[in-house]
Amino acid sequence: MTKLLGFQGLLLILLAPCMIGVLRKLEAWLELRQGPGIFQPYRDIVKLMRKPAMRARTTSRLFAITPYVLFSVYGLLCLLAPVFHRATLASVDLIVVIYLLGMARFAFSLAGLDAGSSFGGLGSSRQMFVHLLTEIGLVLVIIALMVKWNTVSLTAIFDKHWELGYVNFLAEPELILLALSLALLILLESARIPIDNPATHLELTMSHKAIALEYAGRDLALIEWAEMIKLGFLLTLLGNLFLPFPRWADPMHSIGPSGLALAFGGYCAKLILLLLLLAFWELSQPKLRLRSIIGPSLVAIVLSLTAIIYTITLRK
Amino acid sequence: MIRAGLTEICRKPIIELPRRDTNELHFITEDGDDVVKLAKWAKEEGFYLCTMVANDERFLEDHVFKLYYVFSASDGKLVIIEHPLTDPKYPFNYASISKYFSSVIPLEKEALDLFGLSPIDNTMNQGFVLHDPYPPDLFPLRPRRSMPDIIKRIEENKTQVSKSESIPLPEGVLSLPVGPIHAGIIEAGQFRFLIAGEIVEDLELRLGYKHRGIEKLFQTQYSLEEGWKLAERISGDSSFAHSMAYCQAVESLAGMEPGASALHWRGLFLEMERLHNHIGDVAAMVHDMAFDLAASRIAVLREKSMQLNADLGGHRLLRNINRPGGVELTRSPNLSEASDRVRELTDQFLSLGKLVLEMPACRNRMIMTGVLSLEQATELGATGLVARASGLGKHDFRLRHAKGVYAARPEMLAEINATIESGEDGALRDSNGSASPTTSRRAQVLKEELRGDVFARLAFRIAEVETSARIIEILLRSLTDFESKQLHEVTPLVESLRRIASFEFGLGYVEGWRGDIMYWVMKGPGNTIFRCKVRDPSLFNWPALVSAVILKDQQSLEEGRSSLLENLLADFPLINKSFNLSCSGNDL
Amino acid sequence: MKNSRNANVTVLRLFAEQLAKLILPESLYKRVSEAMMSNAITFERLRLPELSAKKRSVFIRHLDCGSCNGCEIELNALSNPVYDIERFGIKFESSPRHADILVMTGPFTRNLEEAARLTFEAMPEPRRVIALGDCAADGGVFKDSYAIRARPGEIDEAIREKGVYIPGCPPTPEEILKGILDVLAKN
Ligand code: SF4
Repeated sequence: MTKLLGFQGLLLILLAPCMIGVLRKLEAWLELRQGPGIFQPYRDIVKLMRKPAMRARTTSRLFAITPYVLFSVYGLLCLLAPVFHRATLASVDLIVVIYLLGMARFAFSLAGLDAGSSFGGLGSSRQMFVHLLTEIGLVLVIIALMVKWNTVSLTAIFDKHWELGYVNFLAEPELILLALSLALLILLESARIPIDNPATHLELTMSHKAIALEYAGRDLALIEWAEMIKLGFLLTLLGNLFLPFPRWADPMHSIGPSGLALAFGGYCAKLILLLLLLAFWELSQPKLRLRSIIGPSLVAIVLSLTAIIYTITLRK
Repeated sequence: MIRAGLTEICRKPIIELPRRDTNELHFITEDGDDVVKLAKWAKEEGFYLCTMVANDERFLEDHVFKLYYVFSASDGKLVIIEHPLTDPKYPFNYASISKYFSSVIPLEKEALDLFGLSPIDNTMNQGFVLHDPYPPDLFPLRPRRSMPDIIKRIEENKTQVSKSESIPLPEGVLSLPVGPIHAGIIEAGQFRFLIAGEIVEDLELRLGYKHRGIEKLFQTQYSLEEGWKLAERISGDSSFAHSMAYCQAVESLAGMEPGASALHWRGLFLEMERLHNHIGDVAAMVHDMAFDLAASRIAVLREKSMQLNADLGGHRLLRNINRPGGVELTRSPNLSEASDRVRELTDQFLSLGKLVLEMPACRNRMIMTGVLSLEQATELGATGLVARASGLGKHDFRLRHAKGVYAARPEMLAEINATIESGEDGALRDSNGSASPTTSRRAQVLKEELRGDVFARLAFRIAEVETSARIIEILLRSLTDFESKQLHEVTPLVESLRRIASFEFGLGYVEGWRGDIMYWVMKGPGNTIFRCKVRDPSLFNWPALVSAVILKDQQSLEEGRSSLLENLLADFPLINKSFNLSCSGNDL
Repeated sequence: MKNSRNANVTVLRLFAEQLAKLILPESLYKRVSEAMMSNAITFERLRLPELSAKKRSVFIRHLDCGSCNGCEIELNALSNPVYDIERFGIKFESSPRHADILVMTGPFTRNLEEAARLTFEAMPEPRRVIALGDCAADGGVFKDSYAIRARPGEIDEAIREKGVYIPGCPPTPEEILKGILDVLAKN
């Protein structure tokens, strides 16, 4: 059973489109629209899968394999991290997570350059710019977590949360700082408002989408799906690092069906809460000027630095 | 005063011809140098160039090409300078006034493509509206060329000379062509950016893709009575303003003005068009900033105003209403209900507009982005809202050349004047409940806010929506008061047109929501159109957009602000939206 | 400072309005919003049972071939909450490569011929094309102009076999939606 649970990441992979569907539904509702059903992303993916992947004649093999790289990297991430149960395929630490993310982004940027179109190049340079800014922040968050929990292993942190069953934010204000910092970085990393608008039609403002414009059919489906998985993974990470389950949701790592059901239910509730927050945030914030992106990433850096200093000086 | 000024400058005697409309002054001068001198003088006097009409009159009594310049003087007069190209050495060349009025350049380029006329020391290339598929010696607007003949020549054209030139790039600068087909649902036109990193160094426009040969169509397929059908399809968002300007031109040709209720209807629909387009523009700009919470709500209001258009005028874009001589409505609309709807809609719009103007992140994106300074706006002859937001506050044909219902109702002009306020607090002031028209306003732009940036244009749009709504209410009230609401008030023109000699011309001008539209219509034999020159405001504002986007000359700026004034590539869509120009109106 | 506080309050008010609409029964909601004097925007969403009956995923790409921009206004209107085209699973896309349907507006101008052909060719099979508006049908008021040419045969064929003409100048958003339904039914 525990072996099987090691594949819980597959569930995340499969449910990610639905999660995006929920997010879009929420946003549509706030915009006074009805919006597509929550399963629309599946329909989009299935339809795209059936269409041929047209690639420009100028592109090399690099361009062709990038969607697969993206998909497998993000898929792997899901399999390596605990989702709603502690079991994973292998125990990894956060540093691996960061550099897997970086690898995917690097591959994607290369593909943008490979396409040889002007927008692809533009998108690549913007992607790298953003990544440069987020990477520092992410590393700092990890250091802070390490200082805090004495470990960078995801499973270990997950376990600590399970033992406690709650986070006392009042007693541990550094966790608030870290949660905010990570939340900001997730927004930056997954190309959402305030730095990129996933729904835009304006070629000149796109960064992520500018590269995706070059793809079609199956390739595009993979890329879109990979993006959804990525967001799902990052939100799970945020939830698991800072919003542990209440104790009753999973009495002592039980793997009984009722315990698992409760754990999964708790996980879903957590995710929906995060999605709601994300929807509120995206609608109440305009996109920033490209240059002002430095702002949020600086904020994230300062927040994590404060958290580190706080932990070191007051805790130890 | 103008008369005296003109005679004083000119080397050769200048002839004045009488015009029926006392607001129009018509002078003829054959001397090219005099034209240039006149232009210099006009520039100093603060004239605004409305249009330049090239006309092939080689088969009429004068046997030459002619140019007609129309200037708008600051005292409400329109000055028409007729300039026959009589110099036998240069039958196809003229002395250009572009040194003083650079806004004439697109008009000159048009004349080059369509008539083969060029300035004497010509540096222009063909290809403004007639791109590569057209043979270089086509000149379709010369009247002896018939439509089938032109088509035959285009189709037989084998010489594919490329008319677009490529400029050498400095080091580190990248050329990025965008378009002509764009990713969003917008019109076709090409922008060529020269970028250094993300900074826009230079921008080159290539328009004309949508050239549909409209001026030739006027000459060959449409009669004077029918021309409105084509006019209102030149630029769909300004359908009513275009048909109104056309109808005014024909009416001025016939020497009549429509009845009072027709004039009221026209004013009403013109303001309704302004209302729905301004609201739509604000929605689009806010959507570009990805502030969809407000954008989607404003989009609903846009839709509602278009539905109101349909309920009042019978068409969502207000087509099929204007006729030369009056208006023709298909049913009798419910006016009192309309007034409630307008009030509710603007009320909701203004509170959303206020939200956008106050939102710090929106302000951050808009303030000092895409600045078109007052000097640039004057220099380039920018028009309409763009010019007003750059500080040319009174550049509004409703004020400068009030006509029709605007001339009759001073309280409407007071409303327009009240759009700008030199007050002291906040961008938008809340209603303080007082009853006088100017103080009970909710939206007003402050004089010092008119910096010509995206913010100023957005704030001005919002304030103009309120102005329009107030004018609409005034007009709705008086239309209800009219004893019989005449829906078909068309004064027949056929008779009066017949009495007019051929080859007379009439002017029609309207302040549409985008700026002033000018029609110059010359009657041919019978009720044909010999020449109809359309000038859409976009033609003058495209160059203004370019100069708002590109890197400013550092020296010419106030100190300390310069670093803010380079625009990033990613800002372009927002700047472009804040101008919201029409390609179809430009390309014709 | 004061500005930004005002803005935040308004944003919260808009959120609260939506929440109230969701949670409260209709009569109560009306009373509350009247009491709050909020001028919440109300509107009727267009109902099209034929279109909402089936679930689908359709990506549309727009192609301007010399329109007067009237047709574009109505195409853009489709995305507003009143028509809300996305609820039918139909979405406007930015690249012809992603598109299932190409919507052409305007008569076919000579200057745009090459660009239009390239866009059409970048689209994957099956290429369904909608010719939107009177202009796209027969040139409309621009019919006889020298600047208008016949569409290339392949595009014309695509319209005839797998596409539709939607007449109107411009067609209303509702007519456009029905036209899209026709195209989908045709295949
Ligand atoms: S059909 Fe009518 S609205 Fe559409 S592009 Fe043609 S003229 Fe404009």
